[in-house]
Amino acid sequence: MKYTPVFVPVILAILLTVITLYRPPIFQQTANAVNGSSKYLQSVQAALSDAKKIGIFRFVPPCQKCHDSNLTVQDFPDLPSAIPLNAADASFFVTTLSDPASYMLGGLQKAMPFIADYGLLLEGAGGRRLLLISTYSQSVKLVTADKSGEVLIGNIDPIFPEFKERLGRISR
Amino acid sequence: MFGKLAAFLLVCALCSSSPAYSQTLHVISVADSNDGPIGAGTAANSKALQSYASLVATLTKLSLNFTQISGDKFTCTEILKSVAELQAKPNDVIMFYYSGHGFAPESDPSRPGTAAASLFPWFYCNPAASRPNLEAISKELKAKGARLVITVADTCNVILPVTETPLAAKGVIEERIRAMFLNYKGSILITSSKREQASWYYPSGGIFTAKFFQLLRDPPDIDHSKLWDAILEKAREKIMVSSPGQRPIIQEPEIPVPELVFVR
Repeated sequence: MKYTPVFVPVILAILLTVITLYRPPIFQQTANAVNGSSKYLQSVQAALSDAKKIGIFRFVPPCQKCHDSNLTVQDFPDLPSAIPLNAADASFFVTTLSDPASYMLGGLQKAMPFIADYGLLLEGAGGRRLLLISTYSQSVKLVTADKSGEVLIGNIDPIFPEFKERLGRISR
Repeated sequence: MFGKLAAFLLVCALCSSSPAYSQTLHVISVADSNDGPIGAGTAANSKALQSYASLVATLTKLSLNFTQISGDKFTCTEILKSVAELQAKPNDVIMFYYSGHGFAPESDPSRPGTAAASLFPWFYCNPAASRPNLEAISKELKAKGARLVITVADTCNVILPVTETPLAAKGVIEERIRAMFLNYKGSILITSSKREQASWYYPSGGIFTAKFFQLLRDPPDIDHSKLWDAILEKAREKIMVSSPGQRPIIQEPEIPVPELVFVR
């Protein structure tokens, strides 16, 4: 076979492209995990910044169906009545739940059912949204009108003691 | 006549030197793979288990009987049925591995009003009325009469109102894995977190499962009679879950001292 020097840069270019594009599975998994966390955070930040009114309610007994996938706001026609939050409490929830430092990120999730005992009702130009709160699993689940079936859960372990104390004070 | 007798004895000796040929490794892998938050992680656990079971079967010559319960098959009914229908011979090994949501009920389902008797979790599957308890599953499997029973759950254990590593080294590690599955009689019961603790998953699998399979794939260099003790001692160590806050998040597996006898 005749040696053709033009192949050398072509082969090198292909090799370089393959090396650049290849990501080992572990990095892909980490990237997916981070994307999952980012989707939750982006959605919650959007919902909180859109909210004009925020009310809090309590599930008695705790909400078992809140664990289900594919939940939308239409699945909660008989929500407990929500008490409007005062400015300080509303600011606390908006600030803490919008802050990435409040969450376990990187795709970490708990092997525990999501049973909600509180919820925040967010009303804004984008419609009604629910932020379901489970003090058992120390996590928050965003429910919108979106029927895509994606489960958006954030674990608030880093700020849970402060968060629970605030919930207790409001619901007294 | 003497030649025939010698040949017969030789054949018998050869048969008895590889007793594992008639033994079976029964594996029941349960994974809530359709779940939103942890489905991918439970599927990864199941894949790691399948890979490890195949390795053990190859090394020990145990024939593998692998039952997979995942996807739409993930129900309490299916789990209980697979346990009830499992039939084992006296030299068989049974491994049950649950990856999914778990909890502890506020009161014991069999004695309402009193605290849950078992320190081990219940599985969050449906129908709700027949949610199995890990310890009860372990007892049922032990009653099958197999030589070794390993019952594991990578799940949470909180009271509620209701990487894989390749086998790098060969030879001596393979010998240890053979000993773990061929030279022990008894049972091992494991759950990935103590009561009131969560068990954490990445999409790539449970944190406990990743650590546990690393230990199983690379058993320590000690006397074979102490292999399981050493593995379980390592598996008991606290897992520090990476957290952005000041508060440390700990997951500590619950692993009682196993009822094991080493058989040479």
